[in-house]
Amino acid sequence: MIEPSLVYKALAYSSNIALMAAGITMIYMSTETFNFAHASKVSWGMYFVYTFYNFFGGHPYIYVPVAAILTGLIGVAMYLTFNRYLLKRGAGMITLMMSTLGADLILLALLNILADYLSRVHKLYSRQIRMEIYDFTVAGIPFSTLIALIIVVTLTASIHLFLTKTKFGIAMRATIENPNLAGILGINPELVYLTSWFIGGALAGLGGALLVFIMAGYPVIGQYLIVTMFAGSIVGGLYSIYGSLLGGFLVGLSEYLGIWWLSTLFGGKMLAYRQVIPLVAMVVALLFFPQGLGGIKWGKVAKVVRGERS
Amino acid sequence: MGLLETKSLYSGYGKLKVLFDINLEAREKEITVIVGPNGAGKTTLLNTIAGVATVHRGKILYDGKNIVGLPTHKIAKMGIAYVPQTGNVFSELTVRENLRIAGYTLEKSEVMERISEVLGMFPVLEKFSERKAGTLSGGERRMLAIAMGLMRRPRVLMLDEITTDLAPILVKRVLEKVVELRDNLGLTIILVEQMAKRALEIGDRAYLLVSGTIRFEGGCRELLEHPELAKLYLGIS
Repeated sequence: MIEPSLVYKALAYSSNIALMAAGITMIYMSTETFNFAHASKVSWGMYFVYTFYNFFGGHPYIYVPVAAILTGLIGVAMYLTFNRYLLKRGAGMITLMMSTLGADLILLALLNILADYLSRVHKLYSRQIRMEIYDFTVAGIPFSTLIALIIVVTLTASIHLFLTKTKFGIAMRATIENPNLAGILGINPELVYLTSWFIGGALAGLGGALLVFIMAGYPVIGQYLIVTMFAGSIVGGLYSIYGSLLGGFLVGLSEYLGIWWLSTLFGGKMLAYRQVIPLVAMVVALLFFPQGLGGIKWGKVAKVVRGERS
Repeated sequence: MGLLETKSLYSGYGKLKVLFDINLEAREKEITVIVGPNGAGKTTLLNTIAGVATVHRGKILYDGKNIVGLPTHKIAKMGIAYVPQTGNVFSELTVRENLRIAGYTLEKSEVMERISEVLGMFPVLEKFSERKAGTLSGGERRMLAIAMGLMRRPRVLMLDEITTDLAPILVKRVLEKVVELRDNLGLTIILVEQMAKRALEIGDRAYLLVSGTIRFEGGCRELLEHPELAKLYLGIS
């Protein structure tokens, strides 16, 4: 029998993966950059909460939005320092991707410096941070689960409203589809790219900042999770924010519950294969939906479910 | 002096050279027609003025100010609208969203007013306003593209082969619309057309572009009646 606590953790974990996957998709859609530095941004999100809490006190949850904004700014810095120039010079997808790998190494090195500084100067146990003890329950449900689910649902609705109702949101969709035409109409494509990098970075940091309340964090936690994040984004269809949120959630859920199920059947040694699950989930999903979940015509699916003719 | 002029302009794409020593003058409230065979550089000329292609040498003067080097969106904001031949609407956006985004630089209240105005000019678009532009027919898409170009009520409107793929009845209607825009709204229009004869019939000033250079400059009627050039390059006998 599956424990409710495990379900709560699985829901929180998958919601956070959904946020991270949406961040990857956001940056890929706008600048066609597969951002590997997303990994370190997730770790930075965790460490921002941990560091601010230890320095300034209060409840660690209050630093979650701060962590999101700061990682969003890391995204902005990445765009301004190299992505923008590479795009202007017409760099290909591989070059763009490799540049983010370089940025990831820099961000990871800086995070290790922070972790060393915290442990040597402030005597904090910063190589493995644990903040689960600060989580609390609301009506019997862990706040980490509630807030992650609320954020995912709210974010989906907000993104929908933003992209379809606001001038800048429509401009973003237009720029993503045809940047040249957008420029001809007076839209500054660079502003759209910059915003995408900010939102993408903020989503990575937000996912990481919330994840620290359900699992232990260490500087390379992002690199450990990157396979799951990318799998979520790819399952979502790479060109759909909604698809990536759903894809990330499903991949995260299958990983968390799948490894529990396999361990129950075959013992603890199965834990070593945890990262295989998102990849298998990705392959299976793409076999059935080659364009990802974002490519499914949900209107037609609804008609079929209602028994109407398509 | 023209509202928009190019002075000894050399341009292309990156290092590729397409246009050589182009001196063009588009006078206010006139239709300047640019004709020429395929590959002459007509689209490149419009792309260069809009800031999409690379300027290697020379000047582009708009209202006396050199706009070379300005980003595309800034040139658009100055009052130069461009309707490209292809990729001129956003397929994933609805007709209304396309119009709304075409008025990106305007105030919200002004956008709504202009949408009603341009939908009045192209009533066929009104009934499709909530449909994605990608589902429209070729002719409807061209109408939408022109309507988008007019959203900002520009001073200069550059139209690149807007009649391509249109039914003859629509070609006539679209070209009549171009004349209306000059006469009623006082727009300065630069018209690039494959259907040279029809374009020259409605235009004021003409340029014949061949292999990236200007071969003829003068009145539209003059080019239409030119015994050699009209036959050789435009197939008009």
